[in-house]
Amino acid sequence: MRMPARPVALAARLALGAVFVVAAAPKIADPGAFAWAVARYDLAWVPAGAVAVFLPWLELFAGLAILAVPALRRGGLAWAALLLGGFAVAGAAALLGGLSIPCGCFSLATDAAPLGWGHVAATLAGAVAAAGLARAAPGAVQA
Amino acid sequence: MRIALQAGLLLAAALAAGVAANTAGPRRIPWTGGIEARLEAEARASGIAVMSVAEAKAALDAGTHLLLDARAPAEHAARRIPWAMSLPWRTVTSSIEAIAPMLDPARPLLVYCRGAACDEGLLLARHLRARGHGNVSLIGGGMEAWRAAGLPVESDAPAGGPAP
Repeated sequence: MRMPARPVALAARLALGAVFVVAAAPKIADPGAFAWAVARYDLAWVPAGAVAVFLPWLELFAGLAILAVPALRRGGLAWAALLLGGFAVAGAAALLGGLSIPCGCFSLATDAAPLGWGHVAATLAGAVAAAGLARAAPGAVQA
Repeated sequence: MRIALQAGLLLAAALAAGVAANTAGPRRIPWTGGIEARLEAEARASGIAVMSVAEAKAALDAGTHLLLDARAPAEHAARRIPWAMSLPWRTVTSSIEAIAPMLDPARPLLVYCRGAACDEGLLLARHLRARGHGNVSLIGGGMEAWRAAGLPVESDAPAGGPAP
């Protein structure tokens, strides 16, 4: 893969890290509300309680690693790619299943704007960007 | 450091932080399940009764309750409990005006949502109580439990085919 131009890669990395830190904060502050947000996706195989307990911390640590811990940056980017890919799949499944639910991405308000295909597309784009940055980061094994 | 090791360290840190927060933190939640039980407990704590689908069916057959669907309009149109009126929680402040004349404070209300893990029915029921409706009940398990019991549903689909 061709390495992105440095300023673009830096901006993308900072944006991804900031998104994860900002997204984690309300979930850590109110895991009960986040458990509801997870449960609304009607994914029977996903234990909403455990996801609500662990996922926000993983988002937070991945975001901090991307932003400020060079030794763990690629690991943070790998998690960002995996998580965003998973969120995109969950969102697409919800929309295809006819659900009209809030995203639960940044706000846990029950009256937040409903999840849409725009969310899914943006999440997928973020996953691709994170994967590209993880491969292009210093220390990455070049294919 | 290899990427897998970095990712593993981050996962271990997240697991440790999650366990610590949910063991010693102020806002602990059940590790697994518990969502449905929590919804029913919160409903009862709010003075909202939770009916089984059999009880709800009997109340609807008797014509004692007005049935309200808290889900989004598209979900209501696709499949609903017969005679339900749409009152989506997320647009309740604007939608409620359309059905306000039918909301007799003396008539019991019965609210349902998507399933046992859907809290929008509870939120709508609380909203209605705050508006002065003293007798508001929830159908436990919502639409999923209704369908699982084999009870009839209706939809806006053209006549000639059953609701999916």
